[in-house]
Amino acid sequence: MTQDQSGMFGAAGTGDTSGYGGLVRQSVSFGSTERPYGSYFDEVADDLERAYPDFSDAITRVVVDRGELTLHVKKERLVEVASILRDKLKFEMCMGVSGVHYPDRTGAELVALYPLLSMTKNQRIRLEVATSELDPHIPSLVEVWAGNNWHEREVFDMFGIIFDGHPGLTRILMPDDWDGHPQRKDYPLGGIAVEYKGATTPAPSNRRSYR
Amino acid sequence: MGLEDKLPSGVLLSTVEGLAGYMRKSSVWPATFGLACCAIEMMALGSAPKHDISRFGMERFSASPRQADLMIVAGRVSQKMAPVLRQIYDQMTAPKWVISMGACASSGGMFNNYAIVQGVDHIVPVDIYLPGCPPRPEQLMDAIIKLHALISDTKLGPNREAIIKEVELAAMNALPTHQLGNFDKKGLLA
Amino acid sequence: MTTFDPYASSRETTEGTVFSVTGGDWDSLVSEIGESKEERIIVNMGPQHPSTHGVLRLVLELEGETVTEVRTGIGYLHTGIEKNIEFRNWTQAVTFVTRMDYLSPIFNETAYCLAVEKLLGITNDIPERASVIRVLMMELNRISSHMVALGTGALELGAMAPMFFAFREREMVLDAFEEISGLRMNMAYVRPGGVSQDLPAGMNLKLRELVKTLRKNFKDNATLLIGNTIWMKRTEGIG
Repeated sequence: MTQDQSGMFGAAGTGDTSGYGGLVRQSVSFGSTERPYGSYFDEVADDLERAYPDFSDAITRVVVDRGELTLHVKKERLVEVASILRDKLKFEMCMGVSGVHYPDRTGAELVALYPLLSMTKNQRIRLEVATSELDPHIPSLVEVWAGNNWHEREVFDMFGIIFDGHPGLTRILMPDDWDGHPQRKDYPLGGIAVEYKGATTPAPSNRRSYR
Repeated sequence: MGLEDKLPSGVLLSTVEGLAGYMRKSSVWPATFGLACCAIEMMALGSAPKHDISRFGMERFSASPRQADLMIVAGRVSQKMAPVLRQIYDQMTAPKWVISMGACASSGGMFNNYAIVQGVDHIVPVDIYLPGCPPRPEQLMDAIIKLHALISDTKLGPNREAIIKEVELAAMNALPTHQLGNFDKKGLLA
Repeated sequence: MTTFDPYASSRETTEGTVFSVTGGDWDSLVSEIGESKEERIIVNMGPQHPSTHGVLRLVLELEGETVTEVRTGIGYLHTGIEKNIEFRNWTQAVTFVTRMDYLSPIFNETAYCLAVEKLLGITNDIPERASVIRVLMMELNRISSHMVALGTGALELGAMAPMFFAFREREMVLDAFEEISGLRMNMAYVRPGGVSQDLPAGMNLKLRELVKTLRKNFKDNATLLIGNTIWMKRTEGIG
């Protein structure tokens, strides 16, 4: 939960001619959506509840936002929920793993997102699993959907989430001996100042103050 | 009819440097080092009938670096690719030249970040820098023509050593750009 | 192993088995060698080689000429685009996203812009003309991208002429791109909210001419490839 933020990038300490200084961004609340969810989401939620008796225990939040359904799952129950979704609810395809890093949410900073696609029913949902930076372990879903192998390696490389049970979790995009996890918010962009005709342009991460 | 008729009594005088330069520039074999978007423009130069690199005799892109003369680094060089680039450059036999094609190869381009080497001149010595994102095939042709001019003018033997010494001395005594003093320090608009 | 054979006599030396071949004996020679231990060779098709246009590292296990196992190494083109975008405008990010798959820049841009428009909630407010122009550019991009695929695919199988034909088609499409958006590749033409500018005057007619020419040229390309025995043998029934 964050409060409203005002202003955007702009040169601090001088006149703001961009006009972005007057912007007010409203915060996004992360509560659960009330039933009915709309379109096919009710069907999915009902089927899952029927097939998985521990539904309310494993699934902490159901969010329907902008026409997309997201199920927040506890990481201990992830493999069970995923197997049931694949076998009983026919979500045959997992479109890979995405990682997100929220540095402000202590206790749930690192998030792994699994978009699922059911080709037989033409439905798309998303699973979201959160874990803390101090214990970045999430069970691996390679036994459920084998295509997640490289995607989990990428999320490990970029965010540092360790997938327990992965058959070979190594860096995939950066060189094998790289330090750090580049896509985390506290990892620097690493650009250099560019010199041209006697003037220096700082790297993009230093150019403007983002609020 | 041809050159032979214009020669007085059938004799042509030239310098060894001139002849060697002429021969070297007439059949440069590029090594395939296409990495990203610039590689597609390089392929367009090599294979599209509109821009035709075989007008220079360069359509034979040599896959093996041991038989290549020119390395056109086309595209962004990531941190993982950098040692491979150096290895390919080392495997090329002298004389060899490097064109860094595109903004990403010349200076890191628009990707000023941790993952891209900010200019391949951190890794290999570059002869021609070609800006553009991606440079049109005609621009790459212009770079190749300038490189041919460079190649045909290279000195050999003691002249070459003299030039190398001179260039090194100038580089050791050169001032960095921001100390050059003849820029009014108005910034980029100068 | 050393049975007497009038066509390929072999004798053991300090260097190993030496076969004396006297002609007409390839089968027996091969069978004699074949009885020896199989060798599994591991070959590294490194990130730079003429075959993959782009960088991909393949570690192949070969038995003779057949590839039994392959392991891939990727990551040689990791650019950190997503992290770069964090420090830029939503519109400036289009210039980065367009370079993700450089053979189909418009598709990357459109996917990104559709996502941004969904976040903004303005998916229904995009002008219809902009949507139609987006689809038009995407289909042209599809043609140019498939021409590269066909051309380079034919090149790998040894056919050089289809590549020239395919790139001729691609140049025509790229000329159309240049007239519409100003650039041949990586145009940053599709932006959140629509496209950057309308089609130039008279573009409809030019595009119709282009389609007519392309249709005719595709027939030539197809005749080059489909009638070719080698092409058919290498592609039919494989995999």
